[in-house]
Amino acid sequence: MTFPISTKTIPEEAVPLFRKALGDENFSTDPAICDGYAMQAFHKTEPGCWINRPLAVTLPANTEEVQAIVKICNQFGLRYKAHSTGWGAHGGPGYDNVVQIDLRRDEQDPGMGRKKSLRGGRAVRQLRPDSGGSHEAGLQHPHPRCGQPLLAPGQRHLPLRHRVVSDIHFNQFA
Amino acid sequence: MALEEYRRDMEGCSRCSSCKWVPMSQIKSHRFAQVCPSISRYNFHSFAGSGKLMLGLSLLDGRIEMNDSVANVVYKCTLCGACDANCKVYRDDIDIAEVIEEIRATCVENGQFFAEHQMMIDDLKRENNVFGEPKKARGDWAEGLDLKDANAQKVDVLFHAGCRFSYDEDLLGVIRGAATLVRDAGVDLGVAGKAESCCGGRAFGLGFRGDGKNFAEDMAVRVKSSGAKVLLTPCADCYGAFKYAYPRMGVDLGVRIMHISEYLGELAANRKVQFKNTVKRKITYHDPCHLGRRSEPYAGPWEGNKLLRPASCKRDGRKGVYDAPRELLRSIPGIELVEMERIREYSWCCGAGGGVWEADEELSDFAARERIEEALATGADALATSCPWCERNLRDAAESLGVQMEIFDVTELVARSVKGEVTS
Repeated sequence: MTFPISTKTIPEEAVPLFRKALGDENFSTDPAICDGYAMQAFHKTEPGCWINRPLAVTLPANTEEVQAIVKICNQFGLRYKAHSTGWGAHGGPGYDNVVQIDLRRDEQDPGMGRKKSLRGGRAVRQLRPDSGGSHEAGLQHPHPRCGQPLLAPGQRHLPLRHRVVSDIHFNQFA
Repeated sequence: MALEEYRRDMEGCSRCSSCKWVPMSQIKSHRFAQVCPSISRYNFHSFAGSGKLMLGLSLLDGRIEMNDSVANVVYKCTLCGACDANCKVYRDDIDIAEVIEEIRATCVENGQFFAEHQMMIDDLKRENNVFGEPKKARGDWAEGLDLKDANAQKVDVLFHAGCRFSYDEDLLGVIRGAATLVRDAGVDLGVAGKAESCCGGRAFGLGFRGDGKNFAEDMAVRVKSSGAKVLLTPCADCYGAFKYAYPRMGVDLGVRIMHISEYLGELAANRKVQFKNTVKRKITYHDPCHLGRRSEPYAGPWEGNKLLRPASCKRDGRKGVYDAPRELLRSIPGIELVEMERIREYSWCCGAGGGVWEADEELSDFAARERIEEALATGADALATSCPWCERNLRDAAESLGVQMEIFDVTELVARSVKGEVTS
């Protein structure tokens, strides 16, 4: 069995820029850190539970730091994807050459422009009125036919009341 | 068990992040909703319980190599078990804490651990305690208390002080007061003095399984030779080791294991300890991890589908010791007990466990400060706990924060009431 690990590495010139923008402890290319974002829950059969490992993981604390990450990514032709954890890894890198933007730190800063922060400890159902667009916003990728998130054979969705919004953030696009 | 035997646990993680948060039904505020000091401090998912499952799986699958990065993640964890207890609110089939222990054991097999931990193990081997203090001074705390020498005489109750209580001079009054309370209740109590050694729980938790087992077997011999029916300890860390780590290492002490708060509770119920005087305090209680969720007995490995485990074989944190210290506090006239937001199996760790106090002062201090802030939010003027490690770390944090929050061991307050010291 082969497990997808990113074939590329982050450009050396980009690393000091990320570190300068975020601080050393909020940026990592360490595989032991990056693999924490590369596991797909529920997929036990081929191709296994791993998805592509991100090139790097970033922990921005505010809008300005997110902007800095996006600028650096654009400068070096890197893809970026905002996702913290949450059910499955549907918001994980999914493809090669991605810089992961883990929005966990700015969960403590609810005043981020167009960003909607869902604070920990709330049931999805409590948030449904303003999270109806979660699929569209990239929170989970719906199955092309049934519109449900992808699950492995034999897996069933848990009742909605059991789903916890914890580190989940998503952008509400105007 | 080898790490491979936990593959199903690791693959089964649904990444719901319950390991990071107090269960929904228990959350009182967002401010105190987090439950894992490690992810709260370092933020990368690998530092959460879920992330460590992925770390283990990544090691097994050969995606990452065993190196200092792995050790950095897995040892910056207080091994408090909060991830495990909170995961089990939703999932019955994942034992996160056991996986973390297995990763640590794998780290040790590969020589990947912090230098501070190696020093501690060296100290343990040389002086039989985690501080490297002289072993001949271990029993000095009991001088003048007229306790029986359990090495020379048979006793009903063997009192195991633990490393912290034996050597921490600031806590000398606590341990002496606790032993005196039991002695004065007419209990046939003995101590092993300088023959006492570390319980080995810390070595086990760090992944040094062989060293942990050596100390556990040494303990078993000492208990057996004392003829004791009860092994009594005022240290939550040791208590957790006796109840959980020893069965995991295959060591059976063959006696009743009790924490001082449980034992004093029984003595109070039999009116052998009587609360006479008022202690006017508004107090909040901090649940030590190793007295609470980490003290649940280990029921042995489960082969096959863990969803089929009966409740008696599942460690979900609910069978820890939570009520005994609270009942003691409520029994003391004048004490008003107010609860923090994160309590019992969902309690926030003080940051002293898992080798973090020795090797990652910043994380240890971070966790303790957070707990002090939570205690302050209750309006209490003092905090009580039942573990010398928690007491030490919380005292230091309160001091560094510059706050007026006194930190007590529960037995100190019991002693104040029983012995006649009136405080206001």
